[in-house]
Amino acid sequence: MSSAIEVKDLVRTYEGKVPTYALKKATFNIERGAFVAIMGRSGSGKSTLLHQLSLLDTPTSGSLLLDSTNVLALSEKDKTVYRLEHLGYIFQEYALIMELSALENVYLPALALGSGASKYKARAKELLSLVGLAERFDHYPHELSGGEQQRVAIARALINEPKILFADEPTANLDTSSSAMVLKLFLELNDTLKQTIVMVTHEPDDKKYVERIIWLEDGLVERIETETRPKARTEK
Amino acid sequence: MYNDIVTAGFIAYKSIVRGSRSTFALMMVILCLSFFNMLFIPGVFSGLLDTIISLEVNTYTSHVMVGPQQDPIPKQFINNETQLRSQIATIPGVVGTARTYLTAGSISFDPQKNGVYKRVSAQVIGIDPTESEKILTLRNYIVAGQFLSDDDTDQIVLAAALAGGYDLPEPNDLGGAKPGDKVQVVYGNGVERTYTVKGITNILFGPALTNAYITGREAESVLGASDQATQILVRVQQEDKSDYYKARLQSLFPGLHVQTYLDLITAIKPVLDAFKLVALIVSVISVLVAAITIFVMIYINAVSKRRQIGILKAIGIREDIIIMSYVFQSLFYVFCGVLFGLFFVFAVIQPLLAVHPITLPFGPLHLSFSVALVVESIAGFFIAGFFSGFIPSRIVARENILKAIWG
Repeated sequence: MSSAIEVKDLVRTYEGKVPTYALKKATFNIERGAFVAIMGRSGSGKSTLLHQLSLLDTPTSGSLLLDSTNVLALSEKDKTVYRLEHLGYIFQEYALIMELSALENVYLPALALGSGASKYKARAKELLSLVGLAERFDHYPHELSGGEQQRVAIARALINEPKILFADEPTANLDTSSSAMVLKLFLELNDTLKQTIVMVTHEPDDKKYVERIIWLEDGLVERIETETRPKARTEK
Repeated sequence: MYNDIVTAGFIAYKSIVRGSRSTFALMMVILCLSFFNMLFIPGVFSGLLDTIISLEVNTYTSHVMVGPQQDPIPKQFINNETQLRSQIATIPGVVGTARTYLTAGSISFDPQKNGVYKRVSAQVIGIDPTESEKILTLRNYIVAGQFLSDDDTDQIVLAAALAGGYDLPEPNDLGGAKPGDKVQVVYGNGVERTYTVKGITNILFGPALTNAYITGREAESVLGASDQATQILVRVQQEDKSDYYKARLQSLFPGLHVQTYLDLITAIKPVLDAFKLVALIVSVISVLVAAITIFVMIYINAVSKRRQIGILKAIGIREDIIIMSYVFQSLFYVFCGVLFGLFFVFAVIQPLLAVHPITLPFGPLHLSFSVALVVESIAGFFIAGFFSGFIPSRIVARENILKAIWG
C-alpha cells in the first residue's frame, strides 16, 4: 500500500536563549487508509509532530511528503490551499467559529473551495447527520455541549473529503460517552471510507481503536507499535 | 476570485450580524461624530465665506459687473446703457441688470447744530431703486428711515458706519446723522448739493460699509450724464457660472471691462484665502483623526479575533480572503458611519442652524457644504476605512497559525 505520509529526519527546534528540540529526526511512513495514534507523555512532542504533518507549523529541517507531494516546498499560500483541499484538522478545543451556526461552520471550507451552494449545504447536512447532529444545524457553538462541538469540528474536517484527517487529542475535553462516540465515528470513517486518520492521544484506552501507534519520547520516535486486531474493531 | 469574494463576504456578513450590538452602536456613534467633525468645521468656514461673498454680491458687485472702457484710454462712463442692458437681458440665465453711477464726494454734517461740521469723504453711488431691487438687496439693510424712491432727487441714504452713532469701529464718521437730518455733499466735479437723510443702511462688512446712495436720476444731474452708467450690474441664475457670463459679455462688448464678483473681492481675498487654508488644515486633521479612530476600532476588533483568524487559516481559508473579509467589515462600518454622519449633519445640525442661526456682524452663519467637500469627506472616510480594515487584519493574518490560536 502506498504511503499517505512519508516523514524523514523531521526536526523542529524552537529558537531562544537555549534552543528547544521539540522534534528530533522523526522518520516513519503512514499508509493510505491507516488509523494511527501518536502517543507519549506530556511534552514528548506529540502535538508538535502533528502540527508539522498537518502544515500548521513548519519544521526546521527534514522532509515531508503528503500523498507523494513535497509539501515543505510549497509557499505559505499554497500550504493553506493544500490544507483546504486535502487535509482535515480537529482541534482539542474544537476551534469552531463562534459567529457561525453548526451548519455554517461545517460548510465554510467547502464554500472557500468553491463547491456549489446546494451541493455543499447538502453535504454539510449529511455530515452533521452522520455525527448525530441532525437536529442541531442552526445551533451556535455556545448552544452545543463539548461533545457536540467536537462532532461539528469532525464534520467540518470531513467536508472537503480530505485525504488525511488529523486530530489533536479530540477526546481530551469530552466525557467518557462522548469520547467513545467520537472514536467510534473515527473507526467507522476509517472502516467504511478508508479515511486516513492520524490522532494524537494520551488516553491508553484509545489504543484499541487504532492500527498503529507511534510512540514519542522527548521528541524522538521511540517505537512504532502495530495493533494487529484492535479490540474495538472486533467488538464492532 | 468570485468565490474568494463570496467567502470573504460570508465571513464578514456573519461577523457583523452576529457581532455585539452594543459594540456596533458605539462604533456608529464614534464614526458618526468623526464624520460630523470632518464636515462641520469646513462647513462653518465655507458658510462664513458664502455669507461674506453673498453680502458683497447683494450689496455691491452682483455676479458680473460691466465697466467702462479701460484701454487704451480709460473712459468714465458706459454709453447707451439702456440698449446695452436690453442686449444683456436677452442672454439666457440672466436674471436682471441695473446701472449704477459711482462718484466720490465730501459729505458734511453739523451734528450739534452749532456750526461745527464733520466732513467725511465717501463713495456716493447713484442707483435706480426699483430697477436695482432684483440685483441688489440694499433695501433689506435699512435700519432707520426708508430707502430711496425712483423720483427722489434731494434725498440720500447713508451707511451706518458713515452716518455714525451706531457704535461701529469706524474712525471717521459724521457724528450721528439720522433720517431727516440735512447733509451737504461736495462732489469731485465741484457740484454742491444739500440732501435730507432718508435712511440708514446697516451693512457691516465690505466695500458698502461706508457708502452713500442717491438715485440714478440725481446722479445724472450731478454728473451731467444721460443714458450712461459707471457700472452695469448683472445678476445670473447660476453664480458658479459667472465666468461663462463674463466671457459671453466680453465677447459681446469687447471694448468694455467685464469682471465677476470673484474678480472684485480682491480686498477680502486674503481673508478668504486664510479661511480656505484654515478649512483645509482642519479638513486634513479631521481626516487623520477619523482615520486613526477607525483604525484603532478595527484594529481592536481584528486583534480580539486573532484566535478566529488563526482557526480560519488552519481550516484552509487563505490570508487574502481573511483580509478581504475584514476590509468588507471595515467598509460596512464606514458606510453606516457615513450614513449616520450625513443624517446627523444634513437632517439635524444644518436644519437646526437654519432655524437658530449663529448671527455674525455680516449676517447669519449657516453651514455650507460643496458637493466636492462632501464627496471628498466620504472618499477620505472610505480610504481610511479600507486601510483600517486592511492593515490590522494583515498583521494578525500573517501571524503564525498556532500563535494566533493559542496566543
